[in-house]
Amino acid sequence: MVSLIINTKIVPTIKRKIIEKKGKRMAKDIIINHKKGKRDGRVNGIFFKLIFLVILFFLISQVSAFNLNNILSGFINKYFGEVQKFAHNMYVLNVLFRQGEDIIYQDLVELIVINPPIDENMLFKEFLKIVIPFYTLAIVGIGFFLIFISSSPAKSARAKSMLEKLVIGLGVTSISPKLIDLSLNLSEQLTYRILNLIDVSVYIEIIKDFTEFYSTLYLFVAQLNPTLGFITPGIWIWYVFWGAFTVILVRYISLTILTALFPFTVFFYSFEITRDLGRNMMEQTILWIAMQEFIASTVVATVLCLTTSGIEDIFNISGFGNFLLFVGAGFVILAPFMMTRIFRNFLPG
Amino acid sequence: MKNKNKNLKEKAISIGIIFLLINLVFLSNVEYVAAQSSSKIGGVANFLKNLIELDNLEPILLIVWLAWMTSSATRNFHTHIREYVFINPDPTNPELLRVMGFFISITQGFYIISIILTGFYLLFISGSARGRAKAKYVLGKLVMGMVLVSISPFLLQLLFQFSSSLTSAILDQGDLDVVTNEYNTIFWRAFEGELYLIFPVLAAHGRNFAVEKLIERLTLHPQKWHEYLNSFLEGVKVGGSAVPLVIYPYFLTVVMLVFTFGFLAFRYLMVMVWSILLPLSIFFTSFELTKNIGRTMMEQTIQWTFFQIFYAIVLVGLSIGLVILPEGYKGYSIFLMDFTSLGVIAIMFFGPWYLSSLIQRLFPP
Repeated sequence: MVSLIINTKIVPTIKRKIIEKKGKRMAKDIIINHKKGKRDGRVNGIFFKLIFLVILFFLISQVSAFNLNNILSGFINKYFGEVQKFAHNMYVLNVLFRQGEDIIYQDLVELIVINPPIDENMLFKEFLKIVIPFYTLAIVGIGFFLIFISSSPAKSARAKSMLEKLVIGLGVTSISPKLIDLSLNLSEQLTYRILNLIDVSVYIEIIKDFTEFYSTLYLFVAQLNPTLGFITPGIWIWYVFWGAFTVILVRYISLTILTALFPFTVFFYSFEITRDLGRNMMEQTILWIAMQEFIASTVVATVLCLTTSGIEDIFNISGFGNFLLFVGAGFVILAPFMMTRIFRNFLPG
Repeated sequence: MKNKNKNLKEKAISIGIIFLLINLVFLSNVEYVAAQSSSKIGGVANFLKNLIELDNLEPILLIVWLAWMTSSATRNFHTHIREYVFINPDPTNPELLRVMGFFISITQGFYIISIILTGFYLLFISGSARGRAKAKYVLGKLVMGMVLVSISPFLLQLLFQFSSSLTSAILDQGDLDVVTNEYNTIFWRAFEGELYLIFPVLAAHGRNFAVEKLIERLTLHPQKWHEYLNSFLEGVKVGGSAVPLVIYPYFLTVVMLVFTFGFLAFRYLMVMVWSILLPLSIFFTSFELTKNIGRTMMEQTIQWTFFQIFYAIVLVGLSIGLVILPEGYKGYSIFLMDFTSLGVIAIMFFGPWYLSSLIQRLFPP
């Protein structure tokens, strides 16, 4: 029993020692071999890399008529040339195409809702001063005709109806600042309500995506060829910003002119001879005022098109962008032409 | 011993290969190797040489971009043509209903005021029988208008269903693939025109260098890629300066894109706008003073909705016309277009417009 216990305790320790010794030796061998192999491998690796580099340089020099300097300097020159070109294109993009887009992103609703204030329209006040003597003169003239000249009852009836129209016209002209202010305010409120129906930030995001896409495209194409870059993707950025949003400002200026001419519009509309001219001017005034509702409806429709039907991917042509936004911007540009064309002669003659 | 022998063998082989390579570089330079285009190494070397010798890769990148655009446009057109023609807003969509609801609520206010005023006139003011009859007529019109405004989303749905079913019936009469294939071929030809303007050598080699053919060959014999790309690069070497010329065929492509995709997208947007404004259209039509505006708005709604029918007619007409067209009308002229292509473009552009102009002034004054 004791021997057994001794055996079991002592024998394994001896065996372990032998194994440890063997293991150490083996490990030493392995380490030495590994170091050798590693050194050999490293030498081989460096050797091969050197050879590869030599071959590469030879190949390049062969191709470029054995002129290594030319290749290096050419590469550096070209690299800096490309960077310079890129920086120039970035500058052109930001100054020429994307300047002022922050205003659109921040104040899109204000831009659409904006209307010219009638109180500050000096032209309107001047025209009002001019037109009232005309009215007075016309009313006095017709009164004179009625009292002293008119012979037949038909003529006096006609003169009376003319007088009535003139008096109504004079009344409308005198309250025209309030009338225009009211209609502009009404239009503003309606436009504001229409735009509140959707999340306008979605539309802004769409424009941002469009601009980012075309800016990238511009940088790419302009790097290849500046003229082509300017004419193709650059123009589309202009198309969205300086096309669509210029129309909004064109509306503002047109409305300033048309509201200034409003006293004359009413005056012309009151007379039989100038009735067509007056009607056209009145139609234009109403249409240009109502255009902001139309533009707001376009914005609402564009957002609805892109969010409700799940077809945004269909019109999205890679390499060209999303046609729905492209068309939405075009719609804003076309709005004045469409409105002034399709709604002609809506007022009674 | 074995290990040593193995190492020696490996070293000998590697030194031999390096020796061979150096020989290759020194003794027979790349030009010489490139001349041996029958061998694979020669072909690859030739390709590398051409690639390195190019002054700039700009024309190639430009072509890649244009090819990408043309390819995505043609694929898109081929896949989605039916959807493009059929697409209409969904009047049952809650968002659209909410927006329409806003206009309905505005008009209903006016209707209620008008009905009350007319009723007040009928009950207390009207003296003559003629005045009462007129007031009754106006009252009937107002009540009818209010009902129509309230159910305008359903009216819209009915209109769209009618238009869609008619379009579907017409489109089933022809094979749309004929038209899309022809149209896509025109796109690719415009692209080829761009290619030939940038690289006149390619044009000189004829249509063998066309990208379609190149891709076809590459897919048929992929192991010979270097040969095909090499021949392509040979042509590419000349004429990077002609890049600005590409503007003209590029514009042709853009015009085609805008007039097909853009116009169909425009139709969809227009239908959406007039759908939103339908309650207002009905409202304006009910009153004598605003009747002209209402009539125009209603006409526009119907006209833009029915545009899909005109598109269907044009597409089916084109598909039948292209099939029964006698042989021998194909000959390439400017930008690789022929009379058939120009005819197809013209009909795709102006056909629906012309047909839609027939229903202007639809309603009686």
